[in-house]
Amino acid sequence: MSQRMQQGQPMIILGEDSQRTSGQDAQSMNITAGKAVAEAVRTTLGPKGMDKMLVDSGGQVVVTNDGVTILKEMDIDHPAANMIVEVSETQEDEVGDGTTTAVINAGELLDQAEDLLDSDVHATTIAQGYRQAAEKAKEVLEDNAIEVTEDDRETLTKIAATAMTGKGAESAKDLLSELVVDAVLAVKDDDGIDTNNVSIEKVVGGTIDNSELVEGVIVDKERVDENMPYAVEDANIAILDDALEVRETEIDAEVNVTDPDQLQQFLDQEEKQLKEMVDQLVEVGADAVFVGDGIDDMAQHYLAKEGILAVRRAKSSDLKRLARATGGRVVSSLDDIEADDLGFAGSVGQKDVGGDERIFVEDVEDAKSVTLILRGGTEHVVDELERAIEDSLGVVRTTLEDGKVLPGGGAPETELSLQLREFADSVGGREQLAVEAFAEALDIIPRTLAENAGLDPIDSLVDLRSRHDGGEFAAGLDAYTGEVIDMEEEGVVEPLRVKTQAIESATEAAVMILRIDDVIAAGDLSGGQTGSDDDDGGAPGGMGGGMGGMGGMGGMGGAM
Amino acid sequence: MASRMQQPLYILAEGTNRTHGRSAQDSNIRAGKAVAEAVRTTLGPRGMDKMLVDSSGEVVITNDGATILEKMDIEHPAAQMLVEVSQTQEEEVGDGTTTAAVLTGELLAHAEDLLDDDLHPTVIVEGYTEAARIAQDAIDDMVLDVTLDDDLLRKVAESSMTGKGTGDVTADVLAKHVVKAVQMVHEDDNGVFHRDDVRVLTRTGASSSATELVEGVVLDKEPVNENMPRSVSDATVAVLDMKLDVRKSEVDTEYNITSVDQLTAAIDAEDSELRGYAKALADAGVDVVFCTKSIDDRVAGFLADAGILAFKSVKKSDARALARATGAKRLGSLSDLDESDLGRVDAVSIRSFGDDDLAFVEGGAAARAVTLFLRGGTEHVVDELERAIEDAVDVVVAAIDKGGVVPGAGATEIAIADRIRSEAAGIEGRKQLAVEAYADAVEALPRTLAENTGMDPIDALVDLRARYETEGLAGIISSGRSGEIGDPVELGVIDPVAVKREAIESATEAATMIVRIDDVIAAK
Repeated sequence: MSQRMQQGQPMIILGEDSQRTSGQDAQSMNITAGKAVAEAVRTTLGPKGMDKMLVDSGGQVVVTNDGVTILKEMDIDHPAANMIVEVSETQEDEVGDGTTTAVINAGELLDQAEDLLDSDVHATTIAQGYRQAAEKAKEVLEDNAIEVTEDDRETLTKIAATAMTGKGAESAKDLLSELVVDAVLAVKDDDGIDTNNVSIEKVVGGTIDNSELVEGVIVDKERVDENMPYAVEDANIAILDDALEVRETEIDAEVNVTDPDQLQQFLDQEEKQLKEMVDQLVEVGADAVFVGDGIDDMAQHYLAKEGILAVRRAKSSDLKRLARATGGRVVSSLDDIEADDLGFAGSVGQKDVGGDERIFVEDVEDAKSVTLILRGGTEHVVDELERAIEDSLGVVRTTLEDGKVLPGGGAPETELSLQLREFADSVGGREQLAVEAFAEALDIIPRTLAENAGLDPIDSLVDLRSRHDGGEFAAGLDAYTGEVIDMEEEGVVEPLRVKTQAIESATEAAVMILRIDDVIAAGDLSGGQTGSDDDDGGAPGGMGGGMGGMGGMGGMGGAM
Repeated sequence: MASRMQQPLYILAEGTNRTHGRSAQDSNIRAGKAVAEAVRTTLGPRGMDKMLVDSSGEVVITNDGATILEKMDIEHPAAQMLVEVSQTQEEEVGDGTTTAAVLTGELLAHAEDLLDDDLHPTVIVEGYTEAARIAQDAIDDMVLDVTLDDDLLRKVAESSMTGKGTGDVTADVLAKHVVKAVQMVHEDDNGVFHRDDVRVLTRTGASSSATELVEGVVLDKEPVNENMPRSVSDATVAVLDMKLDVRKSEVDTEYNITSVDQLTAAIDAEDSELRGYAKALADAGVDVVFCTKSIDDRVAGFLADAGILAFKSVKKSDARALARATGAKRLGSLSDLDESDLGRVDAVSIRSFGDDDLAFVEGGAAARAVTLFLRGGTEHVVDELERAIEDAVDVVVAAIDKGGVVPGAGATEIAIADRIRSEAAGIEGRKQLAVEAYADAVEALPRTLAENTGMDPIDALVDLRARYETEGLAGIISSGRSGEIGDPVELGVIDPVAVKREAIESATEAATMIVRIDDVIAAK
């Protein structure tokens, strides 16, 4: 390929192992890679989407319907393909759902761009047109969004349920969506909503229907000493990010004693220290204490004597949650503790969940930190359930933050497709073609929904368009019956931001890929360089794949 | 350039293996069925055992589904899902692991037919989920309206043990022990049953008929000192979580000695500290000491001199059981020893079994821990006996704690299938077919039972259905060389309801999960 050097560029300026692809070859290679990624997740879209089973090199199995999880686990090597993977990651971070939609959009935008490139529209012109179209699309969506308030519990529940359809959680979505809404509303405070305050405990055994919301915190630990009480009622809780151990100097200290009495003094002193620590806790009135570090055996003994329930080596995230839930404060040194710092809970106790003993902190006044206990038949079931719940938490949070939703079922895409075609006429120059292509690309969502449901995509698309043309913004495809219905009425809605973010990041990734006309890969870094952080460990093996793709892509592509 | 609709594989790392669409579904379903097939023949009282040899030549002979699947070294990812089903079943209820795996396999086999008939996988999932709900309702109706007395619980334990290699002890003797063990420790002060309180210890030698129930704890420990008494009766017991050794400070300390007197003083101080332990224990009237940490040799000598029996490095779990059996508290310090910290037992004795000495701690004051002491001719016999007994303990507990019992011998499954079929007619749409298929899958359990018993499966199934229709209860009872249709309740074949529920739940979830997969991407 070094012969392909245009403009007489001397190959000698690059390292020996460098691979270079430029011009149209580079463009079409990148586009094909991007499309391949989109193709890989297409079948998972919508209520009738299927799952993927991913097996890593260690034999670990993940079964999922979640776009971003699939792409992360897929060990993708190609640099351009990785740009598309990033789209799904951004979507996940920003709004928590719609990752598959975003990737499919990006793939289709690239596909449409390919045709334009073939008919000699310049890549920068396409980029310009796509940007204009995306801008307009956002406007249209915002104008048509439906307002939702916090009091509209019914709609919130439906949003939570919509995010779960098509995923393993679907069979119990009525119960789960209620739990999700309860959880999000509980952790909402003046600073906004941090869904990290909803912690998820997975329990294997029982059914999904047995899942529950605990208004409080569950710490996956047991009390340190058997002689401590199993449970304490109306407990004052000390939260300590410190150790209940004998204090030591940072510098190695050695004590030289000359007679046994001296030694005895040291020993007594240490014991006294521990006793004082416990006394201090007793004095401020603690009934339960959660310690981030260790607790000395002797301290355990004294604590047990005082009837205090103690947990050691609690995770610092658990300490933070405890503080939030019980209204206490994480104290980093026992010396500073005061009665005000203690939290309060109606009950602290060790209980058995699915064969594991954990500490439940419940009956708190205003649970600003809650725990969802998810149950399912096997480990893989609960893992997938967790992913579905996290998406669902994300969309409910996004809805409450923005207060705006859109109907689902491909309704917004169909509407956009129509409106953008109209808008295209007002755009001058070759960009007009790009805007039209953008409109065309958005049809991929309703088309894929129909395909996955086993319907004829053309029939469904035509139905949808005619209803939208008649002014029904909310007309979407019911994947179960194949009919076009009013999605808003049906309660299939999702947050506005899921859609706008999907369009924005898909556009940006597509534009970025289109503008590339030269790929220079330095030898064995070809895969790893752009491989970002998600394919660690795949780097050594990545080389061959990436290189192969660069060098002889026609052949490799055909190999499938 | 690559043709447009084709999937260029090169975006994935080299060596990645990808199967998708129908072939992925086929491969997953086949793998699942193969696993179920592997354990099928072990089901029921006439089920056979498997011999599993691992790569290092270790041999396990068992009838226990979960153990078989765990040892089988299964690689296929979908097959692993089935192994998980049996593991969940084992952890949750302790028995019915084969049932759960066989049911999952059957659900997959029927799903395959439905896929052939062009039913969408999500429709199958809906149908199966719906059917599983109906099945749970049917199980509710099958729960026997009886009091769970010892007699009934014994039958439950016996039902779980049949078909397993319980040696020459007939299952009923063991069942008696199991039920007694569970009854003794059931319901402690918090109203919670702790499974750990029923302990199982095995020893080869003698025969399985020498199996006994020890009302207390058996420790695989010898006294720390030869001169200690080998048996103590009516003893006061201390359980210690501390070292009986010279105390050291957390900071490194060192003696700086300049004269002989100083050295003597230091040695005397240590000596008296060590004597202090023995004295404190003796003064408190302690006869037996169990220590989870080390005991200094000199302390052991002093204890022996004081006539105290002591054990060191006792396992934490043993210490817990000892505390629960004797009513002793686990002590971290001897400084404030008082009466209430100590426990009482009727007898502690050391008994020899071959080269091993075991310590029997019997008749504790609190009596919250018991031990089933199992004997058997060879290691493999006791191992399998242990698995059978553990299962039996679990089912008895499940029967007491988790909602009662249902008839066994396939009677509940027949009832479930019948209920699902009659409700299927009212279900609209294509999922009706999936619901019906579920009923067929459930019926595979009595069918397998019949097969393993030596009956003609078709005849048996037809007879079962007919008998169920007329009498509302019919199971497969093995008798002589074959089996017959009979009333399982009358004949004492009873299972805990929790076992059935969990099997239905986890089998359905795993099967639906596998059916929904249309793409398998495996890294090298």
